[in-house]
Amino acid sequence: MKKGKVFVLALLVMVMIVPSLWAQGAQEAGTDGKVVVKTMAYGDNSNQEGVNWVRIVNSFEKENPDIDIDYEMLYDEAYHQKVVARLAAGDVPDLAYMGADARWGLPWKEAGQQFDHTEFLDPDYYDLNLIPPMDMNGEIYEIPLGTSNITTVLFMNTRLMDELGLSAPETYEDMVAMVPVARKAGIEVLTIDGADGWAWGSCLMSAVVARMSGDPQWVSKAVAGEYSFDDKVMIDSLSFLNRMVDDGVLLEKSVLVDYGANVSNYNNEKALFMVQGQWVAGGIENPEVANATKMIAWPTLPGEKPGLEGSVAAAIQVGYGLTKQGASDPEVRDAALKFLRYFFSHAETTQRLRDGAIVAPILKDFEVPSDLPSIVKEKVALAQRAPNTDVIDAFLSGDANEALNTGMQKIVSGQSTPEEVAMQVESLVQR
Amino acid sequence: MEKNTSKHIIGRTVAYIVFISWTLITILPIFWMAYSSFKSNEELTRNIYAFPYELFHNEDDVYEIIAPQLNVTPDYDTETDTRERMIIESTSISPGRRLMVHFLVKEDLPQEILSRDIGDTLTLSELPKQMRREISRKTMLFNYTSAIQRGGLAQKFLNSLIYAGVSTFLINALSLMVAFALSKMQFKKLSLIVGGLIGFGYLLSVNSVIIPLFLMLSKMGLTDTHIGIILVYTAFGLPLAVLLDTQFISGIPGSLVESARIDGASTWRVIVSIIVPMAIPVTVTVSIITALGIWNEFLLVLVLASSEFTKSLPVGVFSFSSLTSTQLGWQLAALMVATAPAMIVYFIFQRRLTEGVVGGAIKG
Amino acid sequence: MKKRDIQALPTYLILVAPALLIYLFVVAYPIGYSVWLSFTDFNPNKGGQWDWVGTLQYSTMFKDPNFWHALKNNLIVVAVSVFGQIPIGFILAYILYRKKVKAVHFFQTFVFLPQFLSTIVIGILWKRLFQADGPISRIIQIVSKDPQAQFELMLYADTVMIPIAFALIWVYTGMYMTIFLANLQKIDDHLIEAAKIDGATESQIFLKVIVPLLAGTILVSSILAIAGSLRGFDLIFSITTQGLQRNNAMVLPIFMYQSAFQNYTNEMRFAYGAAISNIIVVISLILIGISRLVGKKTDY
Repeated sequence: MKKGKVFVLALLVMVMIVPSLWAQGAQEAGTDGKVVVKTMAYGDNSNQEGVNWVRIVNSFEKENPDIDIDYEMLYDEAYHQKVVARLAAGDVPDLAYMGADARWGLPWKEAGQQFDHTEFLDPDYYDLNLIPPMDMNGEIYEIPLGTSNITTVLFMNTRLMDELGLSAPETYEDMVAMVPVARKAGIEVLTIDGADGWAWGSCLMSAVVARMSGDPQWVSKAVAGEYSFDDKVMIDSLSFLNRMVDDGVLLEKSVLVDYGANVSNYNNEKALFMVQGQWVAGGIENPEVANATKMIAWPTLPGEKPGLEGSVAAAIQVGYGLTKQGASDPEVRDAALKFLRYFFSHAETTQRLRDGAIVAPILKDFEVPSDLPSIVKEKVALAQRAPNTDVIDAFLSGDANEALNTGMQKIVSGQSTPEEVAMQVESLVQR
Repeated sequence: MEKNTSKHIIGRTVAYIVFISWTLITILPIFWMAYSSFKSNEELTRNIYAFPYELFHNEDDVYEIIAPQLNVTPDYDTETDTRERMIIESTSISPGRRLMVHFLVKEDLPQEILSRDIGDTLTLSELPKQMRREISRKTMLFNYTSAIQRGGLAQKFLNSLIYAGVSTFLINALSLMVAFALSKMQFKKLSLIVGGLIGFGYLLSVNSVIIPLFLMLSKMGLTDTHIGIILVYTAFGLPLAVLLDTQFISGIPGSLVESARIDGASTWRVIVSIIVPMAIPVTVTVSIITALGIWNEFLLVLVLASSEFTKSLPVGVFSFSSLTSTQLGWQLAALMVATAPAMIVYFIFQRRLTEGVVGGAIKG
Repeated sequence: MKKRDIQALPTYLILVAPALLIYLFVVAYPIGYSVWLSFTDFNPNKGGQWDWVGTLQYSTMFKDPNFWHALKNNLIVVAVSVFGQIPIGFILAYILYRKKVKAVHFFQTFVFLPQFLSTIVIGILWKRLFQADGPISRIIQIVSKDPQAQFELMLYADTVMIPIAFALIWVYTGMYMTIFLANLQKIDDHLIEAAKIDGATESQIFLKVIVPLLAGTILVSSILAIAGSLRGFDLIFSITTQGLQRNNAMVLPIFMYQSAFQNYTNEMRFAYGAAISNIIVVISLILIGISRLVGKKTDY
């Protein structure tokens, strides 16, 4: 009898739920007469990128009631996964967060959805000299958020350094000399989010391999076949990981630290240095740490070839771009371009700069405000002084890149040798 | 005899140890998650086991007065409410990131505070009582309000409820019909084919056909709709439901059906007034197993749902744990939001649920 | 009789049709599609052009060490499910049934509880517990008095399945325990009493009386467990970080997911992914066939 009651209750709930289902379905339609720009946005509920996106779209739609930016916002793995799925299903968005490299551009390229924006960009508004060419003929497939994306930054906590009587390292050996001092103080020299495979490639090895080879384009040349991934340069670069572990600069346990924990370690002054990309500057929450942070390139490494001192790896910034599909309808194209202009307005760009999301804007005659937070000034200074080299995963993708990243995690945790990893990567590269 | 009792005691002790440690393994992580979800981001790293402190002892929190900026989104309707505001940001919770910002109505503030400039600070205890209390409450619940609002967890919760509810209802209704046909109607060969076809589905999961499924549904415009997702859940829930229902209904004496028939009852009548009431135990079983499975399912919604309108709770929760998320406290709060309702339901209906899972359906 | 059959046919069809149609539409069509796809080089991004490639995808797969690694892990998961969850569930149920512990309902409640937590939640929570200097590492550090000690099982291909197996047992055993307990409670007490009078010991009762009576339940549970364990994706996906951990703990569905959705360099990735999912189905068919066979053997 009681079970009967439960059943009736369940039925009642059902009756209450079902109408709401249709009510929502009705809400989804309701965009009649508007130009709809189907968009794939990049961001997350818990980060500034996502929050800003929502705000910008809302205020844009308020100002332009005839345009509907119909967006799907995803972040990280979910985003990449969804791009692949939507393209495969032919459900191509008109506007999307994309890049032009192996990580961010390949799916769009494969689907033939890359669209050259060059003739549609107002040269009085965007500074076309600051937007790097993205293909053979100088095509521009997306409007990057900023000029370049530095991925191999050493964030240095000068407050801790001063406290311990240390000064900025000139060479790697200087860092090794910090190990006993740091240990005595109960902290680590270096924190890296080693649980995430990509961090090893993007944020560390990209710089190391360029320095070891002395060739800023070593990675792209290797992918093109000019070098090979089992060359001595690569093996030496990977061996450097072993050396760092042996010297105590890098701890084996780094392989268990994820992104959030890494930033949090640095934030809580548990390490002198943090390895990450420039984008994390806005994520250092502790104001004392943020203000005391210097952003530097890796010091001179042992075995480094001359010529690339103080260099950092940097990739073309990812940004928003129209797809072929979106550009094919002039109405949608114009609406999307109008939105992009709004998205890249001086005010928004300044805000992005202030939040630490970008290195430098790509707008014409942009005046950098003088009251930027100190860490953002740091970033701009680094970008101005450091020569740029290739970022590995901008050129290497798929299984080969995966093998390199997990290979480095294996090396650090003592499960594999540099030679093994180098051979495996070379065997997986598709040229 | 002596030996036997000592063996008995050892056995009993081992049994207790096993059950008690099992219970602890279940309770402790949840307990840790529950209290840690009230800790600030910094506290979470500083001491992993400590009880929350900072967010609760907030009377001396220092706030900075900041200028209105693009990335400071008002939490009130700027069109209807034009009262002047003073914007303050916490200097202890994610300072500078505009995550903990309050908009104080200027007319409610004492003159002394109004005279301060942008960049100056104030402590919570300086504010009028009403404001102080509200901010204090917001501080304590910081992780939760942030997770729920930014993650849109309320909508996602509702969606999860819709998916689990509607699909389970459809699965039950359809599978009872099929089960009746298979077990009480005389089409042996046809039934073998139908049963075999549907039974095969139990081996499949959504993720093994996710690629073609996505291609197909998007051609039909069914991705990113509630109906499309419900349809898939229903189809994948059917095999187990048909299996259990058929097993159960076969056990109902055929004579009951026959005598109803002789009294002139139609097939529908038989199903509704004889089969359904008798099949309640198995229906409860099927409902619990399928509803739970759907409530927890992740990949399908991740792939099929694009908008906030259609995403379910697991996808919402997972978004707080993506590779580059730094708000550990929000993440734990989101986990709690996803866990607590299910646990409450479980503890209220615990006995019925555990019994219902079997309901005599899976037989020896 | 015959005539009545034919009269009843429309009713039969009406009863069966809605379910069958939805099912065929959502399940059978994609299956057929997936079989077709696995013998082609079809890539929807390439504008509809495709060729037959024969068994290329399958031969690539069998040469791929990742496939064998994923298969091995998957078989571990199957073994944990069949030889871990079920026997443990059975024993726990038996302890409760014979009232070896008090507070039966209390314990049953907590052993069953993980069923009600979303797998994603469990995965994320355990990932937090396992991280460097995280709660588990802290316990190890306190116990071993070594402040550098870490919980490292997630790092190595040889050991990563241990914590995962632990999690799997923790989550799913409650379900089997409940199923067994319900069926045990249906056993006529007289049978056990009679055996006791005949002088049977506790273990004899268990092996000679209880186990044979529940053979059917064990078989059904095993099939449920096998099918369930070949599909497991969510838990391993969310408990590992992307990179070494996930590669170490890779099971076939994750291998499929990564091959189809993440390896952009393979232009035939969708076809390859389809081949992997087909193999998953075939393997589960084989395993279930085996368990039926074993089930039949032990019946005689």
